Amino acid sequence: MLNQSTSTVSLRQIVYRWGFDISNPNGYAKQFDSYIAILIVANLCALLLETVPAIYDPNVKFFHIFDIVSVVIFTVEYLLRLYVAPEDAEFSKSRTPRFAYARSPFALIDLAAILPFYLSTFFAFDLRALRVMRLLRLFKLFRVLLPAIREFNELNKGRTLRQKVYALINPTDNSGRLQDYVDTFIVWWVLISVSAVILESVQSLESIFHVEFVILDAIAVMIFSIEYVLRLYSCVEDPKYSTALAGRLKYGKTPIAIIDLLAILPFYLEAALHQILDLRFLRIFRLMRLLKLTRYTQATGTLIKALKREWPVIAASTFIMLLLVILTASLGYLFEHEAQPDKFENIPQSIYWAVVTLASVGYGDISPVTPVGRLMTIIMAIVGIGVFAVPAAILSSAFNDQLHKDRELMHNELYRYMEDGVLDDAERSKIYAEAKRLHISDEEVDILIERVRQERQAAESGHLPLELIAKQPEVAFEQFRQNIGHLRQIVSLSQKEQLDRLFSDPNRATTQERQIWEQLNSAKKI
Amino acid sequence: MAYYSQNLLRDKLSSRLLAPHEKKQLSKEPDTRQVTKSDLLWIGVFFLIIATNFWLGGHNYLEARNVAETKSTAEKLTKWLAEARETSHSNRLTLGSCNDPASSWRDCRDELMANNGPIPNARNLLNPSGEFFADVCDRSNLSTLGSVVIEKGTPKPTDATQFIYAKMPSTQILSEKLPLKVFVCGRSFHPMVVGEIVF
Repeated sequence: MLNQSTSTVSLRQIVYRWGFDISNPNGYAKQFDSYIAILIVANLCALLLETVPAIYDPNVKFFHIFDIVSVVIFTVEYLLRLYVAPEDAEFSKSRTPRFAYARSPFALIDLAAILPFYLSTFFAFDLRALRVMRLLRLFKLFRVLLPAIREFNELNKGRTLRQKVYALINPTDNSGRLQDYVDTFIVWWVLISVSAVILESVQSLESIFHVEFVILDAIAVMIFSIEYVLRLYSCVEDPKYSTALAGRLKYGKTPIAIIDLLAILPFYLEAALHQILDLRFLRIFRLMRLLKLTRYTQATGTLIKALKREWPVIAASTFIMLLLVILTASLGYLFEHEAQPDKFENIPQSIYWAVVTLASVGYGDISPVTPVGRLMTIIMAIVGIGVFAVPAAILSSAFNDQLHKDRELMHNELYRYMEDGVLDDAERSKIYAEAKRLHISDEEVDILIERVRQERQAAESGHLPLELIAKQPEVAFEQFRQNIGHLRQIVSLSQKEQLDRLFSDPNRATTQERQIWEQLNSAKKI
Repeated sequence: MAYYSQNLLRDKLSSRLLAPHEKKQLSKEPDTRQVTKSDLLWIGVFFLIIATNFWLGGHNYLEARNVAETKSTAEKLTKWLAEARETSHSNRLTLGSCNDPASSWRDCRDELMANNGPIPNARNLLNPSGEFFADVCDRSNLSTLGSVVIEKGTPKPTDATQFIYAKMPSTQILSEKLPLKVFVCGRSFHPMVVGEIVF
């Protein structure tokens, strides 16, 4: 049967199902769309870089090859889509599905993205006009964006503007894929703007790309400002910040909102005050935009939780470190001051040497010269290795522990979801999202789900592993009750006299077993 | 918009006609309107931010372009001054004052910007009311913003190959070799070094 069904599947169906059918969860349509989107963005970057003679002139060949490769990929994509059009439900009803596809807006955009390249081989185009036409490739992004926008509108039908904005910039059940794209867009702009800030410090690059860096910064600030305003506007949808003014103020004081503000504030301050104050130092705060990425990873959250939990221990070990530093600096001053008054001038100055020595950095710019000083340094350096390692070890252990706890919570959550024996799509996506946060691979989650399923099946059939019963009081309680019920059934259905004789034989049953039998037997009589 | 007006009317009616306890109850109900007055205010803020960014971004862009152009002019000048020394005064011959050991830096400077000079009609692009050349990049003097500043170097006492640069007076006589540092007085009166040469 299976062979028969596979033999009837045509190559066209296979290509469509694997490469272009979004509804097929085992297909690669989404990945394919993502790679095409990346190529479109890369094309835009190439187009922008081509306008900079310092980059374009020495790399003309590379840009040309990149353009050809892009057009080849886009052409293959266009032809494949045309080929599989009869399989697409949208066009299959038409008498000429391929023609119907070719007339569709997406196909026209796809064609517009490649046509100028082919036309330029036959007609002499102005290079600038050709570049502008290459910008049409950007419209291909709509193939990815439009379905996401439709899905977002569907999910947010009848909801208020503020709720929609909240769903657009925060992951909620109403967010859909569009929110992922917004996140990706912001993450990319964080990376671009931070890279620009770093490259700006290279004098040779800054002198060539001064104007380009300024444009990039202005665009980044605009994007981050819009994001900040939208977050401030919609934060009241979060029950934690539900009141209009106080809620927004409360949100504005959260670390992540402060980071968002610091990412844009230097731009405005410098623009307003540059004639009065030299605020160029504020530009370094633009690097803080990197901290915006903490919103998209929970790793820092786990670290903060671990820090909070272990704070008393870390504080205690820091105190010991401090004592050791002061002791070492004082001894250093005591033994070395006379020999090197310029380097060990006083205890505060010796603290620098003490920290460098105890932390095993050892720059070597200051070192002891007296025999006693050297002996003391040897002892203190050995002690320092141990003491300075303590906070790092505590933090590492606490981080690991926190991660373990979070994973345990996820495990429990999975048990809860599978109480009905089924893991529906919403529950599955929640579990996978949580697993992603906890750096657990999809394969590991699949194994975990399978294990939980087996455990549940075993529990239902009464063969639950004892260690699992012991771990969970609720399960142990239910299991105990089940067993008692089972015993009652045995008592009520069996021959009382025969069983009584067997329980009375001390070689067959213990006293405790006999007592339980008698208790159940008397209960039966009642 | 009609929907919004309808809601506004409902608000007004409710505030006038409803009993206090009914008003209280109404205020507890979640606002299900698509766009509220508060939303409109935030939309205003949103567009204000966009407009501000466009304005500031455009301003920064123009300023950056002017700085780049001023730096390019200053580079051209630096190259000319360096070559003038290397080519045994041949270039300077075309500029009398710059070739005359008895003339001052002010005279030479004026001729540099003359029609036959290397930077004809050069002007301060960042600050049209300011001069193209300034003696110092001085925050207290706003007109120096965007000017090209040329400082004179004197050898360090410890190392004669290194120079300490300081303000060159306009009356400086060009009879001796002059180590010069050229820079543009950029944004926030930050000196943007273009080059160091001997003239």
